[in-house]
Amino acid sequence: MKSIIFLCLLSSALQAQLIDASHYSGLYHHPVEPPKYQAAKNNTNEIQMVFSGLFLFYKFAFSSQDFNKCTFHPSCSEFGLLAVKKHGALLGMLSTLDRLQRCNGMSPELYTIDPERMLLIDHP
Amino acid sequence: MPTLRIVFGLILSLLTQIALQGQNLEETFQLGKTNFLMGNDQAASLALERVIFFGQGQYDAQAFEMLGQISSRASQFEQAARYFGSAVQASFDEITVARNTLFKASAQLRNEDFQLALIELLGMSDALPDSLIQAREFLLGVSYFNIQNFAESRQHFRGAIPPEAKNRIGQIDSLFNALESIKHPNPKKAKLMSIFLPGLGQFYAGDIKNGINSLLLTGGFFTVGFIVAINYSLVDAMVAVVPWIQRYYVGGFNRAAGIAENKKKSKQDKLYQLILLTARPN
Repeated sequence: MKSIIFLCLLSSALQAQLIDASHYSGLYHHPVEPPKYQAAKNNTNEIQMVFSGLFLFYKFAFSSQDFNKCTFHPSCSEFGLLAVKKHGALLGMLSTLDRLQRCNGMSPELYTIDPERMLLIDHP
Repeated sequence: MPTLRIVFGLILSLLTQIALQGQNLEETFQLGKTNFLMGNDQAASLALERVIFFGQGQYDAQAFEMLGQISSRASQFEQAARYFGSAVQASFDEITVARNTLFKASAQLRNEDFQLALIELLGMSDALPDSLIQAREFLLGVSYFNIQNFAESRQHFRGAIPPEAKNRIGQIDSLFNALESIKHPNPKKAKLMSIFLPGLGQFYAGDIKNGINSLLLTGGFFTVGFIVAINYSLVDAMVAVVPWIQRYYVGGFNRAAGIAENKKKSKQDKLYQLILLTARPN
């Protein structure tokens, strides 16, 4: 008799633990968060501000309508902005052209893979 | 004096032996259990893993179950499901098997492995206490809902409601009826509209900003292509502009479908939250 009561109590406690609606409430719909572009922040001079503006315009007007995905992380546009910030306008643009040439997914063995994003890591 | 030294040495060695005696399996298990109940998950994991490694299987079911709970608390649901699976294998009585199967399915659901959870839940025995059957039905309802099989989900959510709360079955039915009446925006329709005219599907789905963006972008490339074809040749236009048009045109109609899908799911999600609260067995 005691064991039956214990089993009933145990299964009720278990039910309470399993049927916590909050565990399953976030499963069906994942609202799309607006992207936050860290690369466009913390500009230190006018050139960086201009390139950040161009980057944000590209992201808003062009990239948002694109179905393609860059094979790298950071993406080519982010790489471009980061390269300009790191090496200056001229070397940064050359570095971006080089990156665009490499963005074809044909040599994955040359890069480390980011397991979370499943993209090839390539920083400027 | 030497006799006193010998006696003192013997007493000291006896005390040292007692003090340095290692924990036995039972003590280690109890230590793990106590830490688990107190929420000291790291210490509990270490003790329970030792019990599993050194034990002969007598504590495996309970130890694996607690390890599963610890992984769930840490939101490591894939690992939790593996631990609960091991607990199922190590269990002998039907109730423990059912309990761990339910925990495994719950972890799989929280890891968004809906099909795997369904396999576990549909394979369970029917000869179980009502509370476990209701829990299983609730989890089946959640699984079917998330793979958008609303008819099956309705049946299982109804089955999760205890007999003394029959009035809630009517509420579940009305919530599912409301769910099925959500037709707008239809992702396929949005896609077809954007195939017909870029941006139209986005307008239909209520995303004006993206609609204007898509219309201007694709329209701009069409205009450039037309000008190139007039001033140079059709081949030049094809080579220079068509890849761009194709890229943003296809991107645009796929995006229209995505926007419509997102809006529709957002509406359905509000009802899903109400269904979850209504269908709780207790």
